Amino acid sequence: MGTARRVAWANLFARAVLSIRTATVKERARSRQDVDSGHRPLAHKAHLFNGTRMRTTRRAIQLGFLLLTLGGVFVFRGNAERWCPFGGIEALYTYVKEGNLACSLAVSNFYILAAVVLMTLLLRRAFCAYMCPIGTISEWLQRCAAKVGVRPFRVPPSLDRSLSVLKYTVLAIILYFTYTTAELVFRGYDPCYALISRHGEDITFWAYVVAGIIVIGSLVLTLPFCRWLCPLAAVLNPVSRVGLARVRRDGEACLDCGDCAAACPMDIPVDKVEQVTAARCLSCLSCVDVCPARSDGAMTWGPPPWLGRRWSNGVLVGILLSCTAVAVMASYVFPLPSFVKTRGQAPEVTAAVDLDITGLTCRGTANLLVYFLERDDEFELKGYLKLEAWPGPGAAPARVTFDPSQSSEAAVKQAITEPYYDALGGLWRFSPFVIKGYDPLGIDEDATEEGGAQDDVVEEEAAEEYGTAGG
Amino acid sequence: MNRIVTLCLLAGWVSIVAPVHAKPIRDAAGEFAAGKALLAHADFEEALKTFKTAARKDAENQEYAQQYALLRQVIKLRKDCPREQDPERWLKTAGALRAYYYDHQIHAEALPLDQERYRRQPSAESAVLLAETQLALGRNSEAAETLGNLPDGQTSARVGVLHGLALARLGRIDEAKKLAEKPEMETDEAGPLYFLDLARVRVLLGNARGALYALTRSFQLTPPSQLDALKSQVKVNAEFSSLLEHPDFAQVLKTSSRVEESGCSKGPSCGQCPKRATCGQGKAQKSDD
Repeated sequence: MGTARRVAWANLFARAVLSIRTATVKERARSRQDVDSGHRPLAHKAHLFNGTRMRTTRRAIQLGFLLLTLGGVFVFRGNAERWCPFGGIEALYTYVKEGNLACSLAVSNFYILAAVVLMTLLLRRAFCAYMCPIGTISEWLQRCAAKVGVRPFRVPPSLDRSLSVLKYTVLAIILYFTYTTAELVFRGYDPCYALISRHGEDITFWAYVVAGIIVIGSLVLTLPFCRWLCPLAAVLNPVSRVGLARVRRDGEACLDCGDCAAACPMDIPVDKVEQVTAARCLSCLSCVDVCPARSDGAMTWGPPPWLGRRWSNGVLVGILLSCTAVAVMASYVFPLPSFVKTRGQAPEVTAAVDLDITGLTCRGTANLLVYFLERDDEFELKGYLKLEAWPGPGAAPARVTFDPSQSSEAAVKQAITEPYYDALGGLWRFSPFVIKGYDPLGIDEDATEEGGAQDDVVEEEAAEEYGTAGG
Repeated sequence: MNRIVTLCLLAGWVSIVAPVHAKPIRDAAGEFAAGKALLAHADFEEALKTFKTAARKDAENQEYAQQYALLRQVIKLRKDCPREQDPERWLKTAGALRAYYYDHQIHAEALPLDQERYRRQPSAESAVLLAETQLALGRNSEAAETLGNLPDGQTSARVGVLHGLALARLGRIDEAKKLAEKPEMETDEAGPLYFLDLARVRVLLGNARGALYALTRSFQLTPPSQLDALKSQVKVNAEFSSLLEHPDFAQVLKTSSRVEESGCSKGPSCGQCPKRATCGQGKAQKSDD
């Protein structure tokens, strides 16, 4: 680096530091004036936290979560579906009714949904403004369009209200078909799933058509998906309506410039209300950021006054991050099974066997496992039976609880792995399941011999005893 | 001179005898194929050993292990079946064995089971099963007799087709036509095997267009996982050789299945699962990981 450039950088840095210090001195002076005149010290405190820094903080959080999602999906090849709060809504009915979840969903969906609902109770729809990758992409697309001179089209309030009803219709349709079929029937059309599944095998062409419409819409409209179509927004809105933290406008200090309303991405008429009660408020604090009289307390954000204290931006960030962290931790510390099936009344004494089963990938295969456990041939498991499973890739954990007076661990393993004759279909069904550490065929026990062709194992005995080596 | 002659004779003997006694070194696929060949000759015990060797040599191949496990169970059922006292369990065991024999084209093993079933429960259903096996073994006159003895009230489209097939094979074309060319033969409630047999009869009766129609229906009703195997069988089956030259035969072979099938269970158990086509297979696992 040349000397001239170093000097230029040093000057720039010095100027920046100087401007911050000057600003701080000015703020302090104004603060002192306010205190001296008895003029809203709390509002000023709010301003200190809710200054332009919030926009930067929000963008940093958005970027963090977007990178986390994309990294998790494309670098670590994780199943992002299991962390979608809307997945929790879709899975709820089937889980309560049948004790199992649709394919690819997990109990983590419930934990993350609970966290998002809690966030919404405290911060209103802050999840949408800070964490949702779709919201982030949509917002950034519009910002990019603005940079090249594309101004967003402002939808008339009456049309906006009509379009807002769409998301409730979308939610109703999705829930109706998901609850009646117990499967994610719209997944193939879901642009979010197309992205997070890395173009999964059940993606249809329409998923990209919908994605294209959202992308183009985001260039000319402000957050069209979040405002009018997002089914999660339809779920969160009633919760947000009673949310704790709110933007407040002081009519006396307000300059009536209308900048706050113009800055609101959800087109809320902030300049016309004393308190933003609209459920669609994202707590993005753009209105507070742009307010020219915010230092006079014209725009503030925080919980109701009866709580006594205002919240800083740090509280907002802290609530978002801690709720998410607790949900993630809970899904590992309390891993409730995502598939539960029980047969019969539990006896006083039960026994359980924990198995790692390959081939137990989803709800469909978990149902197939039940099919094998409830077989009616010589490997029949009599009496009480309970399957708790965590279907997933690789060796998925499962726990089978049984009546030890009528069954055994070995019988459970045989029931899972032995071929079964389906008398109704008139055909043999092979078990696709492999239990880790269990060699039902006795194939591995003497595999050290060359090719095994010359071994002296009496096949007849093996046939009669159904060797249960390993396990 | 004698020594040279002796050596030559010895060398000749070794060259002839040694290859006979040397056990060929086969890979897993070779072992598996050998096991299937043994099975075709109903040598169950040797086939079991060979399947086990195949499964050992290629532990990753699920089919080898599955076939080994299944044959082991079948061998046990073969021993249990004659001793089974409970009539219902006997029927189920016999059904399981018959399904295995039919899968592996060991129809001769199925014959005593079907005869026993017919003896225990003489009905149109058991007569059809017995006639199917008799026809598969080329015992056409026995099949015609089995089905011909059924009272009129017990006949059905299935009985008509099998009876017609037996008669057509026996050269009793006019009688066969009366049975197999009725309009009600093209019922919508029949399965793929019914239409396959109907196609067989129609070929023998010289009705190529009707045979191709029946083949198309058979393909449509066959589950996707079994369709290719069925088409391959039809292509090499001598009974359909006269259809090979027909201009529409290639089009019929392109018929796709109309049966919904779960990828994991090969049955319709997954309902509306959007991943049913690939569920439980490698592709589905990759998308889930």
